[in-house]
Amino acid sequence: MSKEEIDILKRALAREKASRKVAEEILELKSAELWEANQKLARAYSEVESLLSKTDSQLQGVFETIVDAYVVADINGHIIKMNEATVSLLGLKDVNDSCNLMELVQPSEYNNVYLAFNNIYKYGGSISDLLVNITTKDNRDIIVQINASVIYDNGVPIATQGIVRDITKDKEAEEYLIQSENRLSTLIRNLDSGVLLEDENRKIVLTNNKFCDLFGIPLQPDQLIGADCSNSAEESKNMFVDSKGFISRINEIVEKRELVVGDELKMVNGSILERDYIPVFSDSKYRGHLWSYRDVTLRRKYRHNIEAEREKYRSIIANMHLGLVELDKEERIIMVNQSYLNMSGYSEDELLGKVGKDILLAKADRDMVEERMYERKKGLTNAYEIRVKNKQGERRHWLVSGAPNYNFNGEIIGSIGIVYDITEIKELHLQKENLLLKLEKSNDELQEYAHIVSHDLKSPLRSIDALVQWIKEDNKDKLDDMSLSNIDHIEKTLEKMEQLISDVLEYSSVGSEDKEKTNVNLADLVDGLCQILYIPEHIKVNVVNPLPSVKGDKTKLQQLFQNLMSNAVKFIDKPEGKIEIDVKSERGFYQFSVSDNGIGIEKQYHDKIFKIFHALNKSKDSTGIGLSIVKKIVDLHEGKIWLESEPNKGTTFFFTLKK
Amino acid sequence: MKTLNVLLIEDDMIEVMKLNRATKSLQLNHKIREANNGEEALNLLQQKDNLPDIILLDLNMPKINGIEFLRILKADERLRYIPTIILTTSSNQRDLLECYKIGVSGYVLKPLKYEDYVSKIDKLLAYWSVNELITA
Repeated sequence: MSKEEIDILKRALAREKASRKVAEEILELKSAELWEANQKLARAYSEVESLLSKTDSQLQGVFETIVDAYVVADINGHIIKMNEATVSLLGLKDVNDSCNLMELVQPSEYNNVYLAFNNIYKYGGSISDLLVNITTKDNRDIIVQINASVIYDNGVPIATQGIVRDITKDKEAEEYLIQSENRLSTLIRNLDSGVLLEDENRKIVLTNNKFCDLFGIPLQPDQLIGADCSNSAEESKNMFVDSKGFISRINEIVEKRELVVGDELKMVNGSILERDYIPVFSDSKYRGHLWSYRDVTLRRKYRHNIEAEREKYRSIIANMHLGLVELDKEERIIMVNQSYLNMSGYSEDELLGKVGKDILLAKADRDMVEERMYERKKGLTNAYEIRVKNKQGERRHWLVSGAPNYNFNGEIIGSIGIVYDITEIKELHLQKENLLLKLEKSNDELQEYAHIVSHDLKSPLRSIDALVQWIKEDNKDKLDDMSLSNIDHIEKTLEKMEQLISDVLEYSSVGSEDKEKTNVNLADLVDGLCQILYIPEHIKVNVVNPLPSVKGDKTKLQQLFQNLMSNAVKFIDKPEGKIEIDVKSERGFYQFSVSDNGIGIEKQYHDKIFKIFHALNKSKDSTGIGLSIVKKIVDLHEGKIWLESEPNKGTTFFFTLKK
Repeated sequence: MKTLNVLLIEDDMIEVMKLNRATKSLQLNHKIREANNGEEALNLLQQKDNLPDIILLDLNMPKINGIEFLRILKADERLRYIPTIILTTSSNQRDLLECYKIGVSGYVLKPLKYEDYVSKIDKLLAYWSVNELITA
């Protein structure tokens, strides 16, 4: 081997030695760096590990102590892990029990649940607030709310973990709330008051049918929700009588945000509304307000009517001529009207609180009044007369009508009396009675007087007749024909005088004696008269229809027929006289007629003839009193008398007698 | 026929004459005494030994009237038995009733006609003269 070669080899070796040294140095450096890094890594790893274990234990704690049911299940729904809450929620035995969650889902919900989970397995994400009806292992139907997320292993979903919450009770409460909300809104919708709830921005939150009605809004209440009310007052102001006031008042109320109750609004159509304003505060923050409108037209009118009525009666009570007094249970005066004060003469102060009968009542009437008051306390209404002494000391007669006074519960709380001063009437009554007595007495006296006068007048007639007879007897054959004829005239005149006196007496006697009325058979009566009366041969009396019986005074009825019949006889001037007596039955009375074919009576005298001393024919046997007596008798029997007549043909007298 | 002792109580002079003349013309022998009024009559009736058989009494008289007199008469123990006949012009129903109530034996109305009067007196006296009477 050459040196050179050796040299070359020597130099190459040297270079190699140097390079290895450098490489060794670098390696050594790198190795140190690596160790350093390794150390760091080891440190980091241990940190991570401790961190992990820490977190893990933390999680374990959460897992075990979590209140809600926490469950981990594989993608088929088999439970891998669960806590105690899950056990009791799902009705399992213990945390190691096996169960497939999907078996618990009610069949109707199965599809929903499947889709929801399938969705997150495919596309990721989580399930939140999924409501599922399930049947637990121990057969309870409950509603659960599920929040769940997927667990991945290397990007592949391997399980689901989630929280299951039993919300059956919440659901029920919610439904209950909805129901009651529904009820409330139905109530509000149909409320008889118009309701408008606005929020703080004056947007409509709620209103009802009545509100739409009252304001003539042609929409459903729901359609108004959200509408702005800030201009609505302006829009509906013309519906109100005081449109300006309507707006200013609303603005004022809204601005003040204070409760307003019972504002009265008169509408142009005559209705009257009453409005309430209720501001709504929540946590002392203004949230809006509630308007409510009520149609009080009827009530107002009713009240108005009641007030008018009350006023009317108040005025009647105040002004009536009747005294009004109200007493409490102890008979103390609570209230009197002006008339009562006028009647009693006392002032209100002198009477109120006093017992009326102590002040006014005459002692003699006290027992009677106490009896009446007792009756009244038992609920009886009564009326009676009392004598009182007014403040001036005058004795007055009062007519009292009393009635118990009840409260709203129907209990007697006293009495009310109406008093009428009948002193004048009473006096008139007494006066009348006295007058009647006097009249009776003077009638009696008159009757007596008539008898005495007639006796005194008749006696001389008898004397004259006796004397004339004696003259005749004593001067037999001495008197000439003329004297005898004159004496005859004297006798006739005496007879006429006698008749006149008898008739006057009779006339004055009719109606003076009140005889009991009896049933009088007129057929018998007229039959009898035909026997007694002087009826000349040429006159025929004919009773057409059978005469009835009537109630009356027999003597007077006889006189009645007698006078009419003898009148007929008297005035018949025909060779064949005819007297017809007839009767016709009418409603409630009989109509009799006595007709003749005599001289008749001219129309102008038809009324006169019934008046005393109006004899048309002052003939020898007519005193002019007969028909007056007839009329008096008919009057006495409450009948009527009239006549129809034609001069020279005859007369018919009609009269009626009660059945 | 018995002769009657008649007491006529009558204030009218002509009436007295009428009775006297009537009995005379009838040729009756009755003894007629007159009293012009009730007082006078009562005086006459004091003589208990000379009482009349019957009394004819007018009602309308001054002082004591007929009815008052009748009452006095009927109140007397003895006089009450003397038949008293009213002779009057008064047809007053009330008087008639009252008289019978107190107690009269007859009530005769004086007729207007004298001849009727005579006839009535004839019958009246004839009737009482056939009656049995209580005598003193």
